[in-house]
Amino acid sequence: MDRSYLSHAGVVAASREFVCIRPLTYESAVEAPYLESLFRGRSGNLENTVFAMLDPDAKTRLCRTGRSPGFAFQSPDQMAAAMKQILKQYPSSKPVARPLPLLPNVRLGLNVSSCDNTPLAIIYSPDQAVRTRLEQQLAQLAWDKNHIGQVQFCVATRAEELKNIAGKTQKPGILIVQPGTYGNNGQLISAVDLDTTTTELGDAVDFALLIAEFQQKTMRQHIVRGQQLGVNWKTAIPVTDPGGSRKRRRKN
Amino acid sequence: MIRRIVPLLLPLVMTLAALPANAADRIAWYSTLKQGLAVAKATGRPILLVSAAPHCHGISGIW
Repeated sequence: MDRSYLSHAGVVAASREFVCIRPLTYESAVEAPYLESLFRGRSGNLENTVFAMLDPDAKTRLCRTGRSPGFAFQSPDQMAAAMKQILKQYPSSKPVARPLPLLPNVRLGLNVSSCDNTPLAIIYSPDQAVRTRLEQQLAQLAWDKNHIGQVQFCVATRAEELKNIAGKTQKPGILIVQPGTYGNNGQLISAVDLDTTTTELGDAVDFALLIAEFQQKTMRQHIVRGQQLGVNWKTAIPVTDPGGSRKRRRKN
Repeated sequence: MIRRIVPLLLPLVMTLAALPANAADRIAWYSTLKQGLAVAKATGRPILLVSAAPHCHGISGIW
């Protein structure tokens, strides 16, 4: 991912008026054909990253698509300007409460939050109605100006899904976790019960944001150390990026 | 235990730091096409899409 573009202040500011979607490449057989329809590399296959800006119809392209924003724009400033220009075509509509952005499961939640260096909030309950209520409660917090983009979210329905998280995770509630360096485990750092108030929930999330510690990762060191430790992420579908030289396997 | 410690420490921590330590502005992403495209349709907002693989050469924890 090209962070020089996506962390640019102007791009982040403009992104608030877009719906930002970051599908996880090679983690969904259902999503892969759509991503391939947007961009295929020279190999003719789906590559690690795909970049696009689209109309809400999800079909009409609003700029050149490619592997990264650099395919369409010469600089982050140019991308930010283009986004502001695009927004003129889409005047503000009536406010709609945005749902909580959820990662597909705890395994991917830990990994993505580790990639992003953010805590992961897990809604843990076997009861669908309870999960829905907590999702709505968390959504208010997720989109407020102090928390937007600062935390990842996912859902767990069974204790087994939490097996790689250290700490007392047996009790249903909202569990806020610091992901491990390789996103294959985590440590519980804050939690609230199912009947929490919005204020208590906000306090628990703020506490987690304050005490979570993340180290800056450098690609080479991270990969070398990960190989030494035997880390081996298994994707849901085969990796077809020609740059992914190490032979990848399907998730068993 | 954690739930008992949080209320005790929070006022102190909040006094020491008015904003969360990791509060750099970030893009807020939907992680699935199903959820993100549904929101785009409902809100009529344009889409910024960047797919990414959460691993490199089989090593997770890095984009």
